Amino acid sequence: MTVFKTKVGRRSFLKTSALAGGGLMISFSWLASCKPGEEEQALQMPDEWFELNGFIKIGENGVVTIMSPNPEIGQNVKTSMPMIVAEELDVDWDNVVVEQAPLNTEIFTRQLAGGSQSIRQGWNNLRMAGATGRRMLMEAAAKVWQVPVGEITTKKGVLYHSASEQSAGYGEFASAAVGLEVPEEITLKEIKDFTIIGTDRRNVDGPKIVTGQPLYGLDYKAEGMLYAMVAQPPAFGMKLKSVDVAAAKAMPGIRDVFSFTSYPAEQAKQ
Amino acid sequence: MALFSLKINGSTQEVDVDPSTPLLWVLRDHLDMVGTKFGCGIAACGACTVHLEGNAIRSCSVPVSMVGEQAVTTIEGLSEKGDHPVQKAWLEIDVPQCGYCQAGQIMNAAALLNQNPNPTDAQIEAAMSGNICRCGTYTRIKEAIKTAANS
Ligand code: FES
Ligand code: FES
Repeated sequence: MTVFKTKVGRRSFLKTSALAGGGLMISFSWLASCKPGEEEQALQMPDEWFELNGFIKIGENGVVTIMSPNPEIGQNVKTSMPMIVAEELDVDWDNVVVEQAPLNTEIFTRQLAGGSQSIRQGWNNLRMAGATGRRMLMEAAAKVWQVPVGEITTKKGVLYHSASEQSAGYGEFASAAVGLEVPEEITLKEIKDFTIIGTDRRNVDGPKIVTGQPLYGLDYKAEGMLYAMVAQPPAFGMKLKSVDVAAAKAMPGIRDVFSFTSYPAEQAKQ
Repeated sequence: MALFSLKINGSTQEVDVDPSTPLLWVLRDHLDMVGTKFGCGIAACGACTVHLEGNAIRSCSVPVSMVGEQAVTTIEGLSEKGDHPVQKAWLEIDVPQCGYCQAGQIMNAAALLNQNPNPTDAQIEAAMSGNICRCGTYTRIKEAIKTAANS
């Protein structure tokens, strides 16, 4: 069994807050340090690890929104990272909505894709975020039902207490879970019990992609925004001989045209 | 500048642009229809593919002055509810990765199936070879075209 320490009290790893329309929001440092219990002793946690934040939102109707902070560039992290959260939260994947977290330099400092690291770096933290959400919902239900939290089980977004034959969707306890103490230790699922991780799930943006809805940087417009465009030489090793700036500038909408080299050393020589 | 009245996705749109403006930029910049993508601007990648009277063309390399009365169809207008057989097959086979090339892939595949409802592997390869996908979704594209052909 893998037990994680959430480090409540030492770090603001997890925060809970109420959603405007009712419901629970858990925010957590996306790349915050958390490791299986055995390794806990030896670990020194640098503050620099608190780099990315993500969010789980649970609505009253049981719909779960999982924010995906890393950029999607075809590696499918917008699907796979939320899958890991959903697994430990123990929700029906069909009830999950994924949202791209916006660029936020105050909370996030490493919203990038590179080095095939998203899943490797995120694995423990994503699992823990989901598992913590699940645990808090269980505790909220245990309070109301007045039963020991250890007797509560979950399946696909539903809480059960079999001895008293009670059950409720996560949405019903989402508000009650707000303000509960974040548990100090979290038990993760056994790998053999995974129902989402390790299965094929379709690209969450598929329907938007096949109907041409805006998803990309180039599709975004802001007031007064200009486009910059690099005209590359048609083959490697070619050098710019001359450019007719006046002719290019005479074209409609062109603000400026200038040449530059991508090698600072060469630039210095000029 | 000149006025053009374009038939796009079943409705008429007026634009006042330089006659040499590529159709791609009329769609994206002047009409805010950003489903059609810019990849290379020199007819080399297929990202900007739209239909002109049902035929696949590269909108980055077609000046608006050449469109005339011909009906333009973009990814936004391929079907009303995103349920064109090609779109459905694309979701069923889970073709897209980043998705950037896919509007062009889908429009080109739809034009191919218009002309040849049951293409062979070789015909699919020949028709789709000019649509580049950085993510490398080619095998699923082929599978999805076959799925759409059989539906
Ligand atoms: S943008 Fe038109 S073919 Fe590449
Ligand atoms: S899906 Fe990413 S370029 Fe084709």
